[in-house]
This record gives sequence, structure tokens and C-alpha cells, in this order.
Amino acid sequence: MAIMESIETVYLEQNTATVTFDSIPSTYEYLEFRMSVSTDYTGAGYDAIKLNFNGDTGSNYSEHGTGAYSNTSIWAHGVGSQAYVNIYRASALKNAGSEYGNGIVTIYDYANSNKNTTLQQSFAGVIGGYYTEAATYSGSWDSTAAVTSFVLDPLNGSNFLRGSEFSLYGIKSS
Amino acid sequence: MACWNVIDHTELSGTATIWTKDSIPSSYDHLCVKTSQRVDASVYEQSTDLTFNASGTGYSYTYINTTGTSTYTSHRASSQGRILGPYSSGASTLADNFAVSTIWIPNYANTSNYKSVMFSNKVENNTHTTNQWKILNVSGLWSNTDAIDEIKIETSGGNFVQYSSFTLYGINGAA
Repeated sequence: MAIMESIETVYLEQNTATVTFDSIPSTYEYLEFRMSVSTDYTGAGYDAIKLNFNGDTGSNYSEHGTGAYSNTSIWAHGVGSQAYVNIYRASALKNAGSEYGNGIVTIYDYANSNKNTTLQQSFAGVIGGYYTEAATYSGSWDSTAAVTSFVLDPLNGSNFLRGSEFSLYGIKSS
Repeated sequence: MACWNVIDHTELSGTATIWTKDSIPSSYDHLCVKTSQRVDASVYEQSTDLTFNASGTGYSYTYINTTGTSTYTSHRASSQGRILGPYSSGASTLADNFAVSTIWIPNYANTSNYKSVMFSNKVENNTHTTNQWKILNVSGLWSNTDAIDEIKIETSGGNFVQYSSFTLYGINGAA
């Protein structure tokens, strides 16, 4: 019996506004989400990805992170209450669409009705052709409902670019 | 041969101060522990002690700790009685939030090498106020060549609350 199983992979053959994972089974202990993403945002070399669980767009999400993109500074970021949790890092069209940011997200307690859903992620992003960014983040959804679906949208862009890929895995505990 | 194997999964049915797993088989290449922890102490975050084989000597660790927009600390400690373990959410954080971590212990059964540990730990909260959330990355070393057959995570204050969980995986490489 495999402990880690592939649930679904989405590879975009064309630019796409929204990616949805639905009908997520409750039979795993953890979900793991891996992605390689770029958006059509032209305002900067990077973008983020909004994630909403079970269609909830209320101010029920928080996030905190720390990382670095230069040799002189470390940054930290956090929001206590917002309508989505950001997933990082997407590259953006300003990079001519040839660069894709990547991230690995672990979603804990997604099916446990006694705990809020919490995620942690590590990512690397290309933010302008020459520079990369490395960071680690956490986020939570203030709900004990079992996660059965989640939706991903670009934070600033309108579409994910062709060639972006999202893979969802389930990890069992028995 | 399966790559990931569940050695133990414990979800607490009541409070406890310790999660421990002994008699860990030596047949895997690496160990991975995923934790989801909360304590009943009236704090935002509570440290734990991570030890192996009931040993109280030979540990060292280095961490990077972020608890605010401009609050970063690093620290190195040697000749310790334990490795600083993953922090738990305290009772002062948002209800039902549990701190999470993934701990990797490579080559845990190799009797030629000291044992190294690395983990990333997050205490998430619905506030950005300094010291009310935490991002902790730790590198640890147990200067002992014994194969690890026991892991213990003990809270430094309060009790782990019901539903705190600990899952231990054995990871196989290619045969």
C-alpha cells in the first residue's frame, strides 16, 4: 500500500484564470502540493497565488513568512486576517514567460474536524531574470471543516501562463 | 518496496507531556516526523525538547527564528542535553490552531555517523504582532554513532492538548 499517492496533476496547455482541485478525498492525513507557475502579470517579475478552501472567501485566513532575495537583507511578512492565503512564488510575464517559480506546500489536518487547517511551504522564485528568492511560509484557515476543494487564482495577474503545472498528493498515516 | 512507510501515528485522546516512539526498526534509510501540536499553557508558543535513545548528552543545534516583521534571531548551542524541538501553539493563539512541523532524520541507523536533524516549524496565528507567531528552522546534531531506536518530543511547559498528533515515517531508498 502506497503511503504517498498522487491525487491529481494539472498541466496548463493554455493560459488559464483559475485552477480548481475538488472532490479531494478525506482519506489522507496530509496533502502535499507542488507547483511550477508563472502568471501574465506585467507589473513586476513575480506574482503570488491566492488559495481559498471550500469556496470560503471570508476574512478567515492568515499567513506569515520569511525569506531573502538579495545578499543584504532578510524580510518577514505577515497578515493576520485576509480573504485568502497566498501561495508563493509565481514568476510573471515581465520575465518574458520563460521562468517559472516553484513551491512545495504541505497542508496539515485538512480532514480533521477538530483542528483548523494549517499549511507550511517552502519556495523559490525567479523575480527578474537574474535574481531568485528563497523563503518559507505558513498559513492557516480558521475553520475545522474538512477541506474538500481549493481554488487557485493569480494574486495580481489575470491568468496562469501556459506550461504552469500543479500536482496534488495525499499522504496517509496508516 | 514502498518508499514511505508509517511506523507510528499518534493522535492524543487526552493531554500528555511527551510523545515517544521506541523500538524503531533500523530497516529504513531515513526517518520523517510530521507533528501538529498545541499546549494548554497560556502562552503564544511553547518550546519542546527533542531527544534520541533516552540520551541526555551530546546534542548541539543552530536555529533561525522569525517572530516579527523585523525580529530575526539566530543561535548556536553545543554540549546540550537536547535539541531544541518544534514549538507548539499555546492557548493564547487562535482556537483550534495547531503548530506544524516536518522533521527529517537522515541515515538514522548508520552506526558510523553522528546523527543530524533538520526541521521547519510554524506557529501560525491570526495576528502579526511580534512574538505571537513563529517561523523556526533548526539544524541539530546528536554526536553519537548509535542507531536511533527511540525518539522523544517533550513539551517544556503545559501539556499537549487532545488532537495533537505525531506521525513517524520510515523512508526507503532504492534497494
